[in-house]
Amino acid sequence: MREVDQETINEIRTTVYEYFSDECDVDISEISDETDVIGDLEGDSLMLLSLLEIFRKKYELSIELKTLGKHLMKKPADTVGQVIDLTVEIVRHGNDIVNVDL
Amino acid sequence: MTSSTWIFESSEPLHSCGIDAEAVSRFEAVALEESPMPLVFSKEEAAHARTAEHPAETLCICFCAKEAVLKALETPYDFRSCRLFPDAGAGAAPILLDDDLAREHGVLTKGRLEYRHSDGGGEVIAAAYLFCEEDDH
Repeated sequence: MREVDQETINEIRTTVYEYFSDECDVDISEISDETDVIGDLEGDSLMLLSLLEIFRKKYELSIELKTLGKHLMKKPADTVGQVIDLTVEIVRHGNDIVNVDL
Repeated sequence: MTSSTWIFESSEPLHSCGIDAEAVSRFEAVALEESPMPLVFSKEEAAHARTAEHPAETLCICFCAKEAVLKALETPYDFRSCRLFPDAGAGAAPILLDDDLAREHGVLTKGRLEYRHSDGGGEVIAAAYLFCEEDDH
């Protein structure tokens, strides 16, 4: 398990906010942790996969889509805040996220 | 809203099918990368798209197919265990599933992708068909 400090969490938060702002053409001030990715931003799976690729490169993550998909079935990431929490968990646990107690 | 009718015939029993649609423009930047979306596309698929006449469209077709297969299987899987090498203008291509994935879901390793473009041509609409053995049907 990797230690994730507050600086990294802030970095992830900033990246997620900026990504959705750019991709969805929405002012960043209109996005909050409660914003629904699909309902409010018209986001989709391709966006989430692209975001995952950004973090995979940035933090050299080892994660499989099958693992992530199974995790999402147990704990969906519907809001921006949940996407941030999910990303922190992926950085922390990598592919072992499937073994994390929810 | 547009509507579309798909008619498909096969000698093999249909196990399940799924559909998906994506805009080609969303793959324009990705298509310029040496290794586009490595969690999604295998090196062989990336190489195939790179040499295709329309790389972004080829990646878009592949992505749609993988998403459609996800819907057909109704469970998450590793996108790289489903491989496609479509020619953008052909309208159909085989879906090649890894043995383990096919066995896990009781489907044949070879499925079929059919795709077409929206009226404006900017969007790919894909349907994935997965088959099973006669006895399983």
